[in-house]
Amino acid sequence: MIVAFVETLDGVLKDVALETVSVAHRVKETLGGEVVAVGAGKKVEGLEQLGKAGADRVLFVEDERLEHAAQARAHALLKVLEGKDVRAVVFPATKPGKEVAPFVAAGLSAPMLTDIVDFSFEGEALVAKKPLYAGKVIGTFRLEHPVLIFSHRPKAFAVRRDGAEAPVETVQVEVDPRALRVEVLEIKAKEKGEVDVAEADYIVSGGRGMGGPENFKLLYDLADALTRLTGKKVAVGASRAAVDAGWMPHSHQVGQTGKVVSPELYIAVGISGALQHLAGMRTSKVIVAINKDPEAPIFKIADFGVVDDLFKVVPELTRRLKERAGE
Amino acid sequence: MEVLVLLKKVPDTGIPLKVAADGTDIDRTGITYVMSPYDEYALEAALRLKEGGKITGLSVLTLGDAGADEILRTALAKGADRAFRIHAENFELLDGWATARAIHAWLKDQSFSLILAGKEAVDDASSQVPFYLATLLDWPAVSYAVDLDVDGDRAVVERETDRGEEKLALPLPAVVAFDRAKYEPRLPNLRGIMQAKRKPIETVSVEIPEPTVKRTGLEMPPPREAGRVTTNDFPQNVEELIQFLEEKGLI
Repeated sequence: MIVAFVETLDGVLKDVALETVSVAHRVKETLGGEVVAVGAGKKVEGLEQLGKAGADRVLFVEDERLEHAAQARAHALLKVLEGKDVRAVVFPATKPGKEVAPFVAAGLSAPMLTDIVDFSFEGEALVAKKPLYAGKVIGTFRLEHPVLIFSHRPKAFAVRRDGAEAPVETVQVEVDPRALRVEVLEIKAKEKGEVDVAEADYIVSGGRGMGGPENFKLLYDLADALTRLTGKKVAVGASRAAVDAGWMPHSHQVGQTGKVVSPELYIAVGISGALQHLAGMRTSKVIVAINKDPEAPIFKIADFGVVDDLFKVVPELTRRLKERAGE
Repeated sequence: MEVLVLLKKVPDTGIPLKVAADGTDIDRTGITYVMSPYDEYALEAALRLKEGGKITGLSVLTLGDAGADEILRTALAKGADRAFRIHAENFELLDGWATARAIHAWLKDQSFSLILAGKEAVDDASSQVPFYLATLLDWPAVSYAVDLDVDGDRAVVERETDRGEEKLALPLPAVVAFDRAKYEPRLPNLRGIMQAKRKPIETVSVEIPEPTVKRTGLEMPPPREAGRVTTNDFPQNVEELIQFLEEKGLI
């Protein structure tokens, strides 16, 4: 069986799960067997939809205690897979996926590959491409093992939508208390509605040129206008310079010491384009740069550049987009 | 209570990299190395625990070649008490599973109560070693810490996840992996640098397992051509931008 880890958060099925199942389906084309999507945590609706992306069936361990600690989730997964003929386990290389995957690999005493962007097979060995040094270089890796464990970069693989709904089975496992040693003391949930850069279709990102934290409102307005016009998930990002200056939280940072992203559209505003920033966003499908410095390195990789004052260009762009959205 | 911080030597993130002519490695000419940035946050957290009297000893460990002694020296200059290096020439070609087993071979005879590390190293961003290690040790572990305190026999971790801010408690011994912390790492001062010269770096030999994940090639990412740049006046340039977004089917 080919296992796809189903990412859920507090009872919500994450979009990336469809990608993970699609990747698992691609593995099945070579290794055979069935694609089983496996998740654990609070009760989730809509799991049957994973069938459309290629899951033959879905197993879900409903247990609230598994929601917070990756170690507990991994433990439940291992319990579900015990005694089964598992040939591969696929995870998303998201924040939760990158934490759960190594615990599962460790539980199976198996090696794993993180964050692959493409793969093929040589016989039954996995040959995968993976960005190194935040994408400054691409490595090819060969993994030959009875259980192939890897995580895939979000948005690097196409989602299948041609399957039928899959049967969903809720399973109970006996959870070892040792897997529940992490105790939750306090949770301050994020404000709802804000899109994370790692999950965004479009990103509007600001750098040193923004001049101060208050000016990021211009980018939130632009993101809002883009959302209303296109229905896309639009996030506000930031360069390291803007985060170091304390203008934006680190969770928004794009680059080698932040998040590596590949959205459909990346609009870099007042970002000069330091190497470690370019490494984190150069695989975006379309890059737009707005900067008053014509020598800014960001223009070397931008598909479209505007050399002008962002404080004029961004509000006007927002106004025009809102106009088109019929406001 | 003794704390161990895991450090990895990586190429400085501000340096452009290219693949060497024979294609088997990156071109090492002119590359400078640093402690991986997330490891630096873990070390800073440990230094703060030490200053707060919460821990009695602070050791650092790297698995690497002789050149990695430089980052250990930096850690000693910042205030670590002892440094260890598991000697491995090919450390950049090891997978997380091999690395963790090599570290575990040494660690199983030590008596640390808390192991800190970066959530991932910025070279291969694998996010594996701390979690393999925790499993081999049968210790609790969490990632994405931004702050840490020790309260009696437990570690209290603040972390940032997709959910928001979480405060968790882990019974010791435990493994905690750091994201960018709430505070910036310090620079070593002159006194620290002088003291570090007298502190020992112990080289450790253990059997380094063969990696199962084998690197078979390196290539540069496909080049990205510069596109159109408009220097036309406002608001004509905004008009052109909107046309461009339309052509691409983005709006």
